[in-house]
Amino acid sequence: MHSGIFRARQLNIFLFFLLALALLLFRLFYLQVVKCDFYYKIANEQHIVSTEVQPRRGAIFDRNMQILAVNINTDSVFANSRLIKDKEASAKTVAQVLKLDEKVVFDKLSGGKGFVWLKRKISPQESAELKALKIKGIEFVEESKRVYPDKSLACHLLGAVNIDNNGLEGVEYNYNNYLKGRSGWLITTQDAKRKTLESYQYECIPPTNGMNIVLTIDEIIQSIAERELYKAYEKHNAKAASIVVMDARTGAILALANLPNFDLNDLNKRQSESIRNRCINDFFEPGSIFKIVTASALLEEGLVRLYDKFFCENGEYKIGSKVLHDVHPYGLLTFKEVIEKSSNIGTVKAASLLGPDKMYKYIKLFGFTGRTGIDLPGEVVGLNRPVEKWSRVSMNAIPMGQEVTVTAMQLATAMSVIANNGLYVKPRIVKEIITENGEVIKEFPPSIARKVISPKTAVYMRYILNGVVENGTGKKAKVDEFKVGGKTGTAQKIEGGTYSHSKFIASFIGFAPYEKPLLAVAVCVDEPHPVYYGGDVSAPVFKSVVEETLKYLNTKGIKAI
Amino acid sequence: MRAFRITVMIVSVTLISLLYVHQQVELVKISYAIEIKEKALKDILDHNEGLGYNIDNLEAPSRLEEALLAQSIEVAFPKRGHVVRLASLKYSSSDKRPYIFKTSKKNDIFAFFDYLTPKAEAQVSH
Repeated sequence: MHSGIFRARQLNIFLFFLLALALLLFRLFYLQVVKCDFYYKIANEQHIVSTEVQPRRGAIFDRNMQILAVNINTDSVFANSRLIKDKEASAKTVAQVLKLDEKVVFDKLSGGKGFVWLKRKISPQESAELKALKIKGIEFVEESKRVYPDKSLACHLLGAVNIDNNGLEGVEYNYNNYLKGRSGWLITTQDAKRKTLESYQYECIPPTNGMNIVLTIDEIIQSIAERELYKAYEKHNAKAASIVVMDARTGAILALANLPNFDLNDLNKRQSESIRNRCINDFFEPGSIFKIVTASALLEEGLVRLYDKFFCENGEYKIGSKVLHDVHPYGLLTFKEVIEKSSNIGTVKAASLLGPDKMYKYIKLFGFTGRTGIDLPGEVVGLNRPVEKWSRVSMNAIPMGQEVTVTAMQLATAMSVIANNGLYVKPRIVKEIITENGEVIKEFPPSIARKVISPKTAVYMRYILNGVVENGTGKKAKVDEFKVGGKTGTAQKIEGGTYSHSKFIASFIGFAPYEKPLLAVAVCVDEPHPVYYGGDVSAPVFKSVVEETLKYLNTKGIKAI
Repeated sequence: MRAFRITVMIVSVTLISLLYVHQQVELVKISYAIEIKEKALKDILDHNEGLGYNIDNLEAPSRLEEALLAQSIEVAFPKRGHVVRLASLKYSSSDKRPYIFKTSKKNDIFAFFDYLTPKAEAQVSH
């Protein structure tokens, strides 16, 4: 009897568990099979994440592969304000570490947002300090930051990038498509704490890092040029200054600098007047340096010979209602001496043999009517009117560098024509584009655009320009160890529609060495005072730059001198 | 006999399941370990990059000049004739590392003894 009851109870318990098991199995079947898609989707959304992998922006090198711009990883700080309990204390601490305004930080933390940037791309010290505080709700994300080891060196040339690493100016802007690279994607599994599980990586489309750019500039020559330009800028209380150093044979820019400049690593502090790349963005009346165009045209056309004589009217020459002056009164001068001593009267008299059409032809051939085509953004064209728009007195002004405007880059390129036996070589700033592994993707070989003057005329011009330095207005450009050539210029700036008597642009363009020209240099100093002559202000800069540059190149095995 | 078979089957399935779970747990553990190592590697690489940047910073011509001037050291480029250029050493064209020069043993009649005595030899690390 008892055993029957026991068996019945056993059966009941068995049936109960069987039923429970069946229910569980049913539930399991319902969840795993019937609702499979629904839960599978939810689970996948939580576990499987796709992350955009940022590419590394390409580096910029000088021609000797010295780094000029590179990326390093830095932390950016954001706040999840919902997780921060003591907002006031947190704001105070964070503001102190990140050197931010406490009120601004407090407002951000009080906004109730799940994500708000506090500061992007902070320094490693700030990051370490803030991480050590372990404030709940203050989180970090890694970002790539553009840095420039040489700070302000070649700042106008390199340009700048914005907070998202997109080029804004200079090479950074012009070659942004090569430098920025392409993002990749990573699809992985993560756990409940959002930690990535590497073993469960599903798919990875690797990012394509940006290409590296190799420039034609030389860090050392750039440094020399900037240093010497700065000395003149300070000494002569100038408003601004520019210098272009060019390889006359290939058009490669070896140095390009402007003052005032700015620190590329601290763009917030830069002043508006320091942003412009004056070498290509600013045009001005060149003054006497433009006489190289007039002289070249006259010699090329065979209208004058070196020792043809011109009477320079003892410093005062009345043409129509206007009186033309020379800085020093001269009597009879040979054509060579006219250029050496920069006689305006002699130049205008000689240019009268040329006529407007031929004058304009050479202005155009020397490249003053268009952009040089240098691969930098924002290059301007000077205001050079066609012959039809010239006035009756234009031929008394243009041959000595008035009524025309030029850029420092155009001047350097024009000088390279004379240095390069009459060939116009397009200036270039980028040597090649290479991959991360050094494989060359694109090369930028020298490009000869046209023949401007014959080699014979170029030799005559170099002889005259050497005379300018040896006997004329450019004596302060004279280098002891080798011969050079050049031309000085002191141009009055236009102020209120008339030529100013207190504001000048002192300039010097030259080549070196004389025997086998390698460098073409243009130096322009804006509003120096009280000394303002090109021969006093800019010529010494040329001298120091070519002297040190050629010695430096000699140590590099380039037999320049 | 049938009960035994069923028991063996259940035990086998259980063991295989446990093995599978263990494998998955190990995978997750390895993932965490990889993550830690990768983070360490990344930190080291970042640090290395930072140091590289510092070196470039310290080697910047303007900074070097400032540092030298601060110590009243003026450096000038050598004058003409002061630079003596040495003839470049020859190396095998097949050698992709031109900075590692090969020494010739052909003319050394005592080179045979090199095989008899052990010698320390520098290795190039890759």
